[in-house]
Amino acid sequence: MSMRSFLRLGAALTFAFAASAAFAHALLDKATPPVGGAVSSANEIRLKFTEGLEAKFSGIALSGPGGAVPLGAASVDPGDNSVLIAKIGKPLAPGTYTVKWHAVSVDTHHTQGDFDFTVKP
Amino acid sequence: MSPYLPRVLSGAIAAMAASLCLSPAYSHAVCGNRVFPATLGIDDPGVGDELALPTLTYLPSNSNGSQEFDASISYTKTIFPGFGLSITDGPSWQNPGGYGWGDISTEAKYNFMCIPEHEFMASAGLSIEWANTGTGGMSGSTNTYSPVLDVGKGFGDLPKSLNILRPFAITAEISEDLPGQAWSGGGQNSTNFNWGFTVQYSLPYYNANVGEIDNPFFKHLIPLTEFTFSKPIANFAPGTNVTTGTIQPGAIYMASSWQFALEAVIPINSASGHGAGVVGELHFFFDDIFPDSLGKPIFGGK
Repeated sequence: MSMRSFLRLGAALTFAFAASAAFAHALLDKATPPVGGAVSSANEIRLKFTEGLEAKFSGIALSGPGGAVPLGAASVDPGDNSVLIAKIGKPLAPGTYTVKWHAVSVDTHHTQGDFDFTVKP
Repeated sequence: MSPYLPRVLSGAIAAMAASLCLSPAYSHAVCGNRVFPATLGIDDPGVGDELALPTLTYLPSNSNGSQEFDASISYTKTIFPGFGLSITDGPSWQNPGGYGWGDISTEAKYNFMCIPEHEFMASAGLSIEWANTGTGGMSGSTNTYSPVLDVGKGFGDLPKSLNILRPFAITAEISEDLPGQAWSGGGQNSTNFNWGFTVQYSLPYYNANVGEIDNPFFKHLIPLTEFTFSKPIANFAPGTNVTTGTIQPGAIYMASSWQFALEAVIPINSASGHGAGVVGELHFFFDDIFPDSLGKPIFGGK
């Protein structure tokens, strides 16, 4: 196979895979409250992932200075299945909070993560 | 190289593209919060359905003083969860030296450990370079058998007070090249010990676990440096037991189902080459692109 044939084959394969319908691991892209950020109040945790999620197998837990914080059941945004939302059950006192999440993308890949945010006095 | 290969491969690609259906998927090098990217100098510690196409390397002056350009394909197929077989080959152009394909290399690899809370992953494998499967004088005359151990450790388990260090990860590989024959083709076949490691700083990890990154390009980037070394340890010709190796600083752009890596190749001494080269690779994760067909193990599906 000549160099030109090899590169032509590579380009064809690249195009084929790039054009394929791809699903993937759901990685956290953006969060509200922001990862590592500070807010004056928060009434929900909103996590935007890189892929669509299966809400049934995905979840969020929140803990803070006083221990675990009750959250509503995690649900997927009806308008965007890559957004996972959980309502916070009570006003948050100032302090540092930790969000732990686990996600199952629509193609059943599992991912997980955790991050802190701060509620300002 | 058969002139029919491109046609055969094209048919295989069409079959792949057509084979989507529904069932569970299996992940590539993910352990806990950590995604280990595919690296170029050494292998990553995971086993997954993936394709490196192409890996292109340019060396202005290799260890023989020749200008060298290599291209290669590497494909890995999982047979059952955590166990995969891979095949690697590709052409090389050297001036002086000519053109030819290197010997075909295969590897069986098993991911035997993942400790999620410590982002620690380990795999063991056996690689074989098959003699007389290359062309143009670039083929060896005896098989080479190489047991390989790959490990990876993310630092996400550091205390939150050291948050800035948590995106760091290291991966490492050791292997030994054991020739099938001590002598062949009138020359000695040395036993070599190979080792290497990478130091990575994952901005995707930073964005998801430490602090938000607004820039859509940088949040996908993993700056890293790879170090690879090799030393003949037995049956070497007098004066040839010199450690050779490269230092490869670069970066990986990691998208959802593919990644692109670009690294400089800096020889550590004159026995390793002269002048800085470059290596780049486009890598596809089939477990993400074809999660229900080519991207899942042949056996052991849920």
